[in-house]
Amino acid sequence: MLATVSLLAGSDMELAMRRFRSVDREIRLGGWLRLWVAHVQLPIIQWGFARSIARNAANMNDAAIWFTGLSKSLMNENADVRPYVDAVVEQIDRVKKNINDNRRAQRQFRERHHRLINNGLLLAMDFDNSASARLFEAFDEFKWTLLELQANHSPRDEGYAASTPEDLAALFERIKSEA
Amino acid sequence: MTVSLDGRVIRGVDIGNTAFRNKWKALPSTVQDEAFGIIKDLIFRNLDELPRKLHLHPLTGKSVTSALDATKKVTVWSLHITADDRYKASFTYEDGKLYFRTCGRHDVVDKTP
Repeated sequence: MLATVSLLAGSDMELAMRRFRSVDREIRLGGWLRLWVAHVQLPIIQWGFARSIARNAANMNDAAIWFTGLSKSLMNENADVRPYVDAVVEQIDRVKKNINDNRRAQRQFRERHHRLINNGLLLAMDFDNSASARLFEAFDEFKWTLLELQANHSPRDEGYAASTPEDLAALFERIKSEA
Repeated sequence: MTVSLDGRVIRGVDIGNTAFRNKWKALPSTVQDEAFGIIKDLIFRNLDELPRKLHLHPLTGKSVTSALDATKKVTVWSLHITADDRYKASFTYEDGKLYFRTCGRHDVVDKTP
């Protein structure tokens, strides 16, 4: 049973990693396209950029729904995700940082090039802004779900309890020496 | 010091979960020092009367394995363990004790207008 749960969690994690890579590629692509719009000031480029941003935003919304669903399903199954947690959490933190970097870059682009931006592009950027925030929250939820599942399945050792601040200080000192 | 033992008083802290200890060891030492100060101050406090700055709240939609009985599911809580809100930890409250489960970075989405 444990092996089955672990196998299922493994395929979910593999899918999750693939989606991270795909979302990350789209976020970075948005950055390249922004450079084009800033340097090649043609309406056709703006139109293409708006379309691309809107498509990326829709993909981010889909990914947010998918990761929220995966968080719930793994939690319901009490899946043993321990073999995957460290690698996946590292990936989540990296993509979350890229999302925040992208949001900042987009904001600066809007400020610097507001004359270039037509209504269609503005709408697409707003859509992208809310989708990326939603995706960020879904990633954060996913990360903490994995950490909670890891805690569910991790062994517990006796002798690590304290009932006074002094005992607790001694306990944390002990952990330090165990490192 | 007089301590009221009414309500959900925190009578002890348990860090026996290996996941928590491993995550703790990976925290920067400055974060460990600050977080220790916050956790230490929880002892003898009432869970329902902790300072708001700790952002203590039960995690909705998540019940986790009890530290005392692996067949039971219990509520999991989280709180911020640094003043800048960049790190948080989770625990269960069982039989008057906080059983810490995990801790780590807590990044928030940049919503600067």
